[in-house]
Amino acid sequence: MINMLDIFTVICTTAGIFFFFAGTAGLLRFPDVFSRLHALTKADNLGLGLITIGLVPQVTHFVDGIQMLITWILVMLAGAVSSFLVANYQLSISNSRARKLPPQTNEDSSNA
Amino acid sequence: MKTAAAPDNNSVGPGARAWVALSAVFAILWLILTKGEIGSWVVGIIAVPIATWCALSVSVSSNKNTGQSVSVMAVFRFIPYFFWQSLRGGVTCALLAIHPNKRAQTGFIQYKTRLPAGNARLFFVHLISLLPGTVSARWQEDQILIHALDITLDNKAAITDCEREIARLFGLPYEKALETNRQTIDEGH
Repeated sequence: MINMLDIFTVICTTAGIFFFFAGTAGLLRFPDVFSRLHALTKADNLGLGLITIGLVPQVTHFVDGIQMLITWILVMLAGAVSSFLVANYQLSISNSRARKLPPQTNEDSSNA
Repeated sequence: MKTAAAPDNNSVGPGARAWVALSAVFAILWLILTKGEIGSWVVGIIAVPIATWCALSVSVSSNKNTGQSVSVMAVFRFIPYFFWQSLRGGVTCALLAIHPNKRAQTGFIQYKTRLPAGNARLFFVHLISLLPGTVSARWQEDQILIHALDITLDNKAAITDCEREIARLFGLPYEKALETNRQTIDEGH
């Protein structure tokens, strides 16, 4: 007998893997830094969310489920904040290039 | 920005109280993430204070958050919106990514938010990045520069929707502001 919860898990995690695949495809195929951030913040978050939801019925202890949900939330927060920081940095270096200035005027310029 | 330690007659100032409260939150988080493993506290005893210090040193000073309160009911109303938008965002982005010859027509949108400074605005800027087709790129006061994956879509409407949902979440009177004050959004690039 096939368990309904197992079917749910298979459907959700398969969909999750699809979105991870699509996110990676976007990361490779999109033309610039900003568009690539879309692939990472959206497709990957959805993929992780679907895998999390799919695995929740499989846990033996409820703490495992809570742990996975918290991990998902933390990854989403980190993804949103880091994508903002990457976009902000990309914007600042492309602006300074347009003005024919060195990428950054502060102490970070040695790394650039 | 440092949390302003207001003069207080109590022996324990608000700064110390915030420190204790946040430490407790991070300790519980650590407890759950490590499933109560005693040995993990070798790292946790350092990680929890560092997390608390980081959180306090970047937190928006509390006097900016007047009138902003998040209720449990508001969170429950917000979750379905968030899930639906995440699903839409993921699907549209995934289709664009795997479509063999579809090129994204990207561009920037300058958006002026009417959300007050503080946590509501901070949350808004980062939620934009999780919405379909938009990523926040620059943020100065109430001006947010947003990168749109498909500039031909009605991104403005989606962003305004998101703004309204956040106003609701933080218990801010948004609808009134919408009627009296028509926002100016300029599309560029």
